[in-house]
Parts: sequence; C-alpha cells; structure tokens
Amino acid sequence: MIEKTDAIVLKSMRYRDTSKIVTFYTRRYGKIKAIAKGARDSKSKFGAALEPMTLSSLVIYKKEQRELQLVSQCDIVKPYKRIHSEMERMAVALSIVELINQLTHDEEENLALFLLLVKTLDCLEKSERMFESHFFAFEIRLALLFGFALHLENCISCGRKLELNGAKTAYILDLSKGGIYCPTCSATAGKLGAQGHSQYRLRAEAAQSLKLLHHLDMDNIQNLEYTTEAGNELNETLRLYLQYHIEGLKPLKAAKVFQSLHV
Amino acid sequence: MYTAESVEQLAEQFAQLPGIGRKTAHRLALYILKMEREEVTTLAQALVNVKDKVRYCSVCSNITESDPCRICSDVKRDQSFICVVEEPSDVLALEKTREFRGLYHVLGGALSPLDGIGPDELRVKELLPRVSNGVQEVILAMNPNVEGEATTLYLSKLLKPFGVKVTRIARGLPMGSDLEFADEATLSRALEGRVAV
Repeated sequence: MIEKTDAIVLKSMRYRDTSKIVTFYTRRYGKIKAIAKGARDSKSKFGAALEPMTLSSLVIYKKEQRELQLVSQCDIVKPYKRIHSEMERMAVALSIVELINQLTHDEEENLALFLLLVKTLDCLEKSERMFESHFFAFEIRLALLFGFALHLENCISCGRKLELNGAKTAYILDLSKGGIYCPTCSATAGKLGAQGHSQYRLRAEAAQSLKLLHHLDMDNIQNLEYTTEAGNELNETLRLYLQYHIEGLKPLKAAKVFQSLHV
Repeated sequence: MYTAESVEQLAEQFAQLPGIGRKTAHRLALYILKMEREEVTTLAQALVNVKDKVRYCSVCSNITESDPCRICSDVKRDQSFICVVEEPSDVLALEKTREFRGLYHVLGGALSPLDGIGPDELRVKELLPRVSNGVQEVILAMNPNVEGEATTLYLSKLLKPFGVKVTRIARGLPMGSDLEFADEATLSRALEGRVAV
C-alpha cells in the first residue's frame, strides 16, 4: 500500500552500488527502515532528502509483513541547513537522532516523540548559542515521554518546595526516584549516601539549570546561561539518568567522535 | 549437490562478493567453465596480482603498485596543490576530468559520527606533514553528505593553523539535470556557490 507521512531521517547507509537503506522516524508509523533505490546516483530524484537530520515528506510502498519498506518519493520539508553546515550544531543533532534510533523499536507510533524531535531540531537550527542545552532539554522531555520524568519542584523526601539557589550548596539527585533532595534532606541522604549507586551529587548551579531546562519553553532554551563546569555536570547527570532507566542504553557514538575531534 | 563440487566451490566464492547472490554466483561459475583455459588463467593471475602487488602509496595513501605512486612521483604535477578525497575511486573520478594537475591525499573514508568513525580511523595525521611542506592550497573534495560535511568542517579547522589556503569543491546541480527537480538543500548550496560570468 502506498503511504505518505512526514519523517526525520535518523540514519542513512550505503547499499549496493547506488542505493541506500534509510532509517526514518515518521509521524504516522514511528521508526521504519526503507530502501531508496538509486539514491546515490548524482541525478537521483531524492537529492538531499535522505540525509540524516532532515525533515522530509516521505512516500513509501508499505507492506505489513516486510521489515524493509521501499521509498517511492521523498521531498525535503525542512533541510536544517545550519545544522548540516556547523560542527557544534551537527554534534548535538546527530546525538539526538542516534539516541532516538537506539531507544525506539520499529513501527511503534509515538506522535509526541516525533513532534519533540522536530521541535528540538527547529530550535537548534534557529538558536544562536548554547547548542548543547537543546540536547539536555531534549533528554529531559524524552524522560517525560518514556514515563520516568524528573521531579524538580519539591524535595523527593520531605516535599518542601525546592529553591535551588544556594551557590555553595550541593544537592543529591536520586536517579531511581527521579528527583532532588532539599539541602536538609540532602545532608541526611549524603550521609547515608553511600547507599546507593543511584544517588548523584549535583552542585546548585547545575541543579538550577536542570530545573530551568525542564521549565523553559523550547524556544527560549538558548537564553539559559551556565558555566562549562555546570554544563559538564548536566551532561553527565542526564546521561546517568537515562542509563539508569533505560536498560541497555549504549554510550552515543556521535558524542564520542565529536569529543575526539579537539578542534 | 546437483553440479560438480568444484563448480559449487567456485559459486560459493563468488557469492561472497558484494552484490552477488546465489543465482548470479552459479551463473558466473558456469560461465567460467565455458571459458578458454588461457582466459581463466589470466583471470586467476589478475586476482592474485591484485593481492600481491597492490599496496598503499606511502605519500598519498592511494592504491599503487609502485611506491610512491605514479601521481606522487610525477615531477610534472603541481606539488603546491593537494586534493583530499575519501577513497581511491574518487582519485580515479577526478583524474578522468583531466582538470586537476596537483597531488592527492586519500583519507580512506570519512568521519561518520553515527558509526563511531573518528579521525583516528582515517589517514588524517599523514596529511599534516605534507601540508606544512610548501603547499599553497588544499582542496577538500568530500562526498556531499553528512559524513563528507563533517569531514570538511573538521579538516578546515584542523588546517587553519598551517596558514594554507583551504577550499572545497562546489556543490550544486549535476550537469544535464533540470533546475525544477532539484531539492531545496542542493539549490540553496548552488546559489551560495554562484560565480561571476
């Protein structure tokens, strides 16, 4: 049956002399893999529509029992030109599509996830700074969609409202409970601390940024300010948080490659 | 087994080649059977020669039988230009144009972050001493895809401290195609790379 849907290209690999096998995250069917015949030919009708991190309008010949579908037509909806031509943006966007590719199974529709992916790429394309924040914001919203949202409003022990503003205070984030202890409970939890691999110490700036990343509108993520140390802490915290809740989540290859570039 | 054991063995070997399925492998094996003995010997010798004689050029990393390769040892070629490509097949494609008379550097692939292929898997560090050796311009001729773009961005930053002119080949419409069928990404890059006429 011929089906039409919007899709973000997650991965594209060479197949035989001129074809490609492309992994899409689609609006209607979730993740699907399809073969695009002749896609690598210089006069291919697909052009750049099958490049990763592109929003395309996809037409496929879809058969229920087939794992690999056939691409009939694919036209660019949003090329995300800045993402494709600037290293820092590309690093973030590739990490996002790799994460989605790892976390999703074939043909499990999730409209909210598709919309989150598109919105994140839209914001990353428009953003002028703090590109990494879009990855953090994406991870936080991804956790929400997958059912293990972070709770950053109140202390997960006593329920007191969290201010997260004491510059010298360190907080304890409990990975298993998905929330932060207030300074008082953090002291207790810190002493007990050791009780678990699931507890992670977070400095006030990182805790505050985490809360803001959670609450800020995606369009305003670029306005968030934090130090490089806090950025590193956020990166590590969110990575550990996803790894704790998602069994078998592997380290992202794209992130590792971009870290190794040192330029 | 419906045929001779040798034919089956040969078909099995052919079937290991990329793009060759079982049926094609059998067809090829039966075709070999029909060929003259001299032709088969020549084919077998050509296969062995490829493995025995071909190696990578110690200068540009292109495939060659003599080291340095014929391009690197050609004194008529302009030593001040280096064209960086992904694969030996790209050298072949560029040489067919007869437009470029400089030297090459073959990386042996491109950065592929989604596959975990970083600069250490490519022949990048071999390029750096060549660039610092009186080269005027380095032309980056990568494939127009995400991997090629990542490699181009990386190399342009890496080569900046050397003070050498770094250019990239133009991206845009293929000859003989129609403008109306081009996608937005290609057309916008074609506009960016416009030249005065």
